[in-house]
Amino acid sequence: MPLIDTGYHHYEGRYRGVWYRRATITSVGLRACLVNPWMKRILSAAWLGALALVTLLFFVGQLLVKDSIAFTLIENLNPGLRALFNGIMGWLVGNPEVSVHTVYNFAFYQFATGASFLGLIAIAIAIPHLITTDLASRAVLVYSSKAVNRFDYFLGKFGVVFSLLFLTWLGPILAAWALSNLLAPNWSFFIHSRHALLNSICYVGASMVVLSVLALGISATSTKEKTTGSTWIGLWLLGNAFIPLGQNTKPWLKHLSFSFDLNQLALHFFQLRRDVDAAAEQIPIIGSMLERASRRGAPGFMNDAELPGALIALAVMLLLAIVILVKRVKPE
Amino acid sequence: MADGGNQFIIEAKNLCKRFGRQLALNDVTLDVPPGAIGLLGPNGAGKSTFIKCLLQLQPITTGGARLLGREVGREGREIRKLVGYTPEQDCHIPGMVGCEYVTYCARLCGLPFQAARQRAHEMLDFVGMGQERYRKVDTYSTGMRQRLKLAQAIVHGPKIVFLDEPTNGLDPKGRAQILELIGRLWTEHGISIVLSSHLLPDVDRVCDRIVVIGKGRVLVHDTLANLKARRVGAAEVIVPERQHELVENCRQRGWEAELMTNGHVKIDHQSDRLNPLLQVLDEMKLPPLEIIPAANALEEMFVQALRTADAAD
Repeated sequence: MPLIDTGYHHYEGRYRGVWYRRATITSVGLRACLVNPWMKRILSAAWLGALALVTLLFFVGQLLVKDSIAFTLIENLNPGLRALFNGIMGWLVGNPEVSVHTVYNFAFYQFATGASFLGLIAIAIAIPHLITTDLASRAVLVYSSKAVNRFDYFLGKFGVVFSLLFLTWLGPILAAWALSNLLAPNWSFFIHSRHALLNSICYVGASMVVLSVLALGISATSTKEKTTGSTWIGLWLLGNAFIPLGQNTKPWLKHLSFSFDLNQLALHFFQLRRDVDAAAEQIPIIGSMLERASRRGAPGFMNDAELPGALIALAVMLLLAIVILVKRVKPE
Repeated sequence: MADGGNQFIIEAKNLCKRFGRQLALNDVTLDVPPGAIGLLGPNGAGKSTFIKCLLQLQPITTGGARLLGREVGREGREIRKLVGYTPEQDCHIPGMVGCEYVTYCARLCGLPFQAARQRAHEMLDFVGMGQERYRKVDTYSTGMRQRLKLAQAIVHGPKIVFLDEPTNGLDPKGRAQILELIGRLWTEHGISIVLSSHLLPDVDRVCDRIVVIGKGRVLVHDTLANLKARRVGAAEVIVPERQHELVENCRQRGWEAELMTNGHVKIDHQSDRLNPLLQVLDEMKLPPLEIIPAANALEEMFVQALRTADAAD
């Protein structure tokens, strides 16, 4: 191969700070994850879900507007559903502050907890690209010889998972909240639904931090892509298997599931029981529906949050993940 | 000149590094001025460990070191911004093409994206990589990987570059090209280089200062010129015939002489000039085909240093 000498010259420009270098690790890692076609499908599903939520909330808002298409649709429903919607309509008109808050809080709880599934799938796809392949190709040595330290590396990689979860989880929630309020019949919806947004941010934000650290820890357990990917899915499914087992035998077993523990955070932040009880008092048909449901066992959102156990379990999991990271991710 | 007006680029004081019970670096004290420095030593001598300690890839057990006037262990990021490193092991960021990889390495040192991309292409040109830069690194041959390692080590404009066995796995032509590039970093661009190798000809060709490490200790530290001067009284003589007679004649004069397996006669004539040797050859009416002064001086110094270290143990 002939040598082509174009000459070397010293770099005389400016150097950017450490946050730029951390952001570089994040952006390059994120791009590597997003090229996966399955990741694109998951993103599409998440944003389509947000669109469905906006449609639902738009429909609820239209119940306050006389002569809207919602009225025509309700007229065509069966008597049971018609009674339900008439009850909601009366409630919305009579107590807009409480009713909008409750409807948004309930809708965003369902959406936030449901969309967590997509976030967990996204992590399963991304896990091999986080640290696993870096360990396999000794890329950690490359990073360590540059102007970043291990903490910067961890932070950059944390940013990759966090950004992915933002795109599949929190991003659609924020967009759905903003769009549904923009399409609402009046600006007061922004005010009345503020708690739903805040609850979503608290629950999803905390979950994103926890899941990001757990994902990094699991990604660092092996140099084989299949091993780390399947470990994540295995822990997720195995954890979920402990939930019914814990309900029938030892309650602490439930806390071995990180999705159960994160759901306790959702129950704690959204406090749905209080809202639904208030709604049941004012709309008799909702009250009777709840009563029927309670006979078969209380719905999940009516349970009290088992917060202390969940917090302890999540703290232990985080600690384990951090220990794995520190032990495994070294230049040599 | 190192930063802060310091005349040394590397300063190590009583530097020790332990791996469990094994002492990898034993009380290394060293002050190295800017230049092309060859770090010599047999496999497992502690060369790579010394470099890794300076770059903070390995924590120092006891003692201290300064690189470019900055305290190792306290200013890690700042030091590594000014330093380039080509590791001995094969390591890269998976899934990237060559130019992306070098651009990414530049950005990790803080170069803005546009500048990083431009510098990446310039450095890939400098190391002689053509269209291969658009191929994934995973598909590169050993030679290409060595060039890529050099490109990523200099892309951010370092003041010193550590090269750990940079010619490993290269054919003679590739090795010559890489060594030429490395040599030019110091001679033409003033970038200090620390070339760690167990291949003496590589170091002899590129470096002007030698540090020999053996069993975790610095055995020799001097300029190459001084080291060769120590062996100035030795020469290899190639004669067409009567080699045994020449050896005998030299020994009678009290010089060390031996017939080597390649037919050359190695003579230690103990003079800084060749005149006494030429006189002997003239007296014997034996015209030499060639006289190589101070041949293999580096190798002999290296072997001698290791023997001394062994004897001290």
